[in-house]
Amino acid sequence: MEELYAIFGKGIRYFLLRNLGADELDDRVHDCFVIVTQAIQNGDLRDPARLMGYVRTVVKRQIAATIDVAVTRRRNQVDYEETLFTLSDWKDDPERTLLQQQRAEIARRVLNGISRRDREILDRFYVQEQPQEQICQEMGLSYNQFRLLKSRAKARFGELGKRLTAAGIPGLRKG
Amino acid sequence: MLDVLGGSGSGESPHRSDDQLELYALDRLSETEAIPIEEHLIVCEACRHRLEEVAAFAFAMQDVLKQHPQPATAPNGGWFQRLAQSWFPSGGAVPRFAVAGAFAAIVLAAGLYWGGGSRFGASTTLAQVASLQLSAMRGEMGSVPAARELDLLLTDAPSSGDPFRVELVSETGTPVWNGRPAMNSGGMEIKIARPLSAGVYFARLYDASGKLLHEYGFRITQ
Repeated sequence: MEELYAIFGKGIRYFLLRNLGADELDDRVHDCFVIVTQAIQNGDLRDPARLMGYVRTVVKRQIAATIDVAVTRRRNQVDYEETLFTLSDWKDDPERTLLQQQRAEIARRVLNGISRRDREILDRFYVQEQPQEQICQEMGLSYNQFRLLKSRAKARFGELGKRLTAAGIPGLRKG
Repeated sequence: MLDVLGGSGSGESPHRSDDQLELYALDRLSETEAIPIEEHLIVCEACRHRLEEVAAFAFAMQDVLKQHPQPATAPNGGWFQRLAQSWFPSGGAVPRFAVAGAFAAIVLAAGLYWGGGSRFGASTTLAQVASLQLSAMRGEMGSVPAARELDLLLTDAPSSGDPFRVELVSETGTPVWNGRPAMNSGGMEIKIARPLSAGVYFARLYDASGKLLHEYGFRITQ
């Protein structure tokens, strides 16, 4: 069990935290390990190569089940929301919201510093969700040129982020 | 100890590329493609950190591009027009003389500052000329101290596509210079005969049809 925790503990925790938030996180991680351990002890996992896939499946099912419970609970408690009680979304996180706003500001500055054509390329990829092959063909780009554009934008994003963080994030809109 | 980070046995790295992680973060992979990535992420902290980095960038780009779609303006308006638009973003007709007058006032003030020095503050001692060679393929940004004139040499500029045009913009996208480069044996040379303040700049090389060929980033230091 300890070896399993050492290998999988952080990863399971990561996925559960990203999808479900911090509530009851330790219990959920433990539940996943109990399921995996029982499967090993029952002889359901004889092939070590299948272990990672099984762990992934257990985590996914845990996430799906938790979301299902939360949705059902909210549906059943809608009367409370209409009167005195407001149930906050368990995904609400003011710190995360602020972080998103800061990153959006940095992204805006990055986009202001690129050409119209480069902006169109990024728009095709991130907004219109076109595959890179289509973008390269229609915009007359090589794969390397496409990757270079994205990596430069990402580098500027990181650079501006560090600079603004070091300066106490000046210039960001308040409120 | 389980070998959970081992690759397929063919010598291939089990770690995922940034491109793959980005597509995963954007949920643009099929279930079949996502499964091995998720299995790897469960056991690889380094890839989880990289996933967070690429996801932060990708989602920020997505949000801002959706919130601020590209305006339908003429793609290659002259630099004067773009300068006017940056000063008068509300749109509408801007009397050309108004922008010209404002620009002349700025040039005059800059000339007094850089030339006299003592009128507006402590005198600055700038070098006469600073030179910098730029390559579009270089990973790190070149830097050069501020000087009264900046000579840039674009070493990997193409030989055909003349007449070329170079536009210099600040890191916020504000145009600061526009002109034609001169060809010499080392590449394309441009001379910016006025001081630039400290910061990051991008020199954009366009061919005769207005197509962007290369972009060169560099930094002016104090």
